[in-house]
Amino acid sequence: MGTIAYKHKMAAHCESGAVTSLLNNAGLDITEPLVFGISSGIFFGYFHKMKSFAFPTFIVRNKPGSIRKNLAKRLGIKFHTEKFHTPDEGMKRLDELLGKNIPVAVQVDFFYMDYLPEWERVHINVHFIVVVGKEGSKYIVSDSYFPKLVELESASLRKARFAGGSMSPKGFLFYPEYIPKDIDYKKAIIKGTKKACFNMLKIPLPFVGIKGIRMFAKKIVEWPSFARDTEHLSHEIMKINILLEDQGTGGAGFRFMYATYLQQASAILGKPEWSGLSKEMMEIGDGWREISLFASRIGKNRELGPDRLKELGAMLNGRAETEERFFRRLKNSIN
Amino acid sequence: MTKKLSPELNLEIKKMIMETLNITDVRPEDVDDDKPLFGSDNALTLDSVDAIEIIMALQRTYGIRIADQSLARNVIRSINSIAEFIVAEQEKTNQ
Amino acid sequence: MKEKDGFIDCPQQQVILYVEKEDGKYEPIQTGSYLTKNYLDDYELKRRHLEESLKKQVLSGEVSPIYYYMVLEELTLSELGARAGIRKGKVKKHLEAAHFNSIPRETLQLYADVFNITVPDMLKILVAKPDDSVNTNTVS
Repeated sequence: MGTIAYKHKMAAHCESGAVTSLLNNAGLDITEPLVFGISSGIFFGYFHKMKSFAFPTFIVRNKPGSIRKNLAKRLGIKFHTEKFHTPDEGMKRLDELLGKNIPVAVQVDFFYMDYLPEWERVHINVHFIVVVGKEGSKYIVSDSYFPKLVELESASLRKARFAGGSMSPKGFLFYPEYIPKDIDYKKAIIKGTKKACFNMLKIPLPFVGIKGIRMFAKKIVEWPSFARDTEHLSHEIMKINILLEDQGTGGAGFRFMYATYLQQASAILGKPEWSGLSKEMMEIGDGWREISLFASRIGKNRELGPDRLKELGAMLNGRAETEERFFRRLKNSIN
Repeated sequence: MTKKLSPELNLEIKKMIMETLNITDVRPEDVDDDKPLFGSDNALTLDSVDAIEIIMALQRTYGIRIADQSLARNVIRSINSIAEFIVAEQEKTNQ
Repeated sequence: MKEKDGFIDCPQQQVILYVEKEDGKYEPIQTGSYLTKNYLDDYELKRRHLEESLKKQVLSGEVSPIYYYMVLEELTLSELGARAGIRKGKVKKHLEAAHFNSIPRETLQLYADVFNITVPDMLKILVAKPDDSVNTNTVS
């Protein structure tokens, strides 16, 4: 079948990366920060007890699928999407599309991405990769988290696309089928930014947005009660670093990307005050980075007593305060 | 159109939830109107992430805003409590 | 985050990070993972300890190999059941060593697919000596 001529790039985050990559290859010159910002990707949610997660955890981006949907809505782009009842149908359709030289983004369980080292891989059904070709029994994949195009065995892709459990992919695939010639970026940026401020400030649930960061700060001292032993607790505390920084799920990582979005948006809108806000957001990201470094240090040193966790909680509250002030200012700057 | 407390409204709410959350393996008639939505014995196995979606969907579908988080907790407690809230909000706007 | 502060030398795991360049512009750079560079050995140590302690539990008849992989792969019972397509009540039984031998081969295969191992891999733990290393997460 061969490989479609496809320009591969790493990205900060898999969903914004896959969307940006497909659009770039389809001729639209848009950056990942703009995709992320316009789709209101920045978020916070704390989950103390969830039946699908073995340990308390948090998210720093909006619901998977929202980046694609919000971007499409706000820019007038149409993505063709499909889900399947059986793996056979799903794989057959993928081959058909590749045969027509259409690169396709697919939703997969991250665990089966065999080209990534073991320590990186966990069961999470909301990873997105772009499939750009097939050679024999191997698919050629563009994964935002890997430096170059890579091969994935058909059996692994099949398992990954049809993994069960929460947020199961059901073979979900998408590709752009219509991109308008004229896009009103200004309007899209305003809408996307407004929604991000709303999500962080106004959703009336105690575990989301700024309230969610505060809840995380409060609940972290209870984490020891969920751990089997010190090493388990250490592992989970150090995961804070991963969730904040690596694999594009990152709080610090996303804050830096959001700062870049604001800088780019400032130029598009002709709003010089957003340039100042973008610098602030970069600094907010530095604050999150401090937290992730602290978490990895206390985790490694097994310094996980109540005092250290309270200290971590205080740092998180610091982020909550700073971000609340920031998002209020950002919201006011739109009107 | 003014909504009234009725089995039809409850069915509408269930369908909205199931559509929003893409739930295809449960029938509306299996969902108890009064059981806690986020309880472990509900036919709909919902969690915190779903709560966010439901709040947003209520806003979109019925134009209602829930400003307060303890109110939110009470509103989305069960299908019946959602229905009561929708009807109460509509009566407020109609006055 | 300035570029010089953001750059980490770790070829094993590369990430994209948005940083401030010399000219003040915010741009993406390809850099290494801080955690992997500095703490991969600690992660692997904890993993080894967990594997050993779970193996001991399997060999002493407390739990089944299904439990071993479920914990290692950080799945909840509910999630494992949903992924394998097996009722929660049954999964609970399968986690017990006493019921493991009665699990049909097809059902073992369902679990193996979730864990991304082969059924023989899963059974290896039952015959392993406590200090044997057991391959986890091999591609079937």
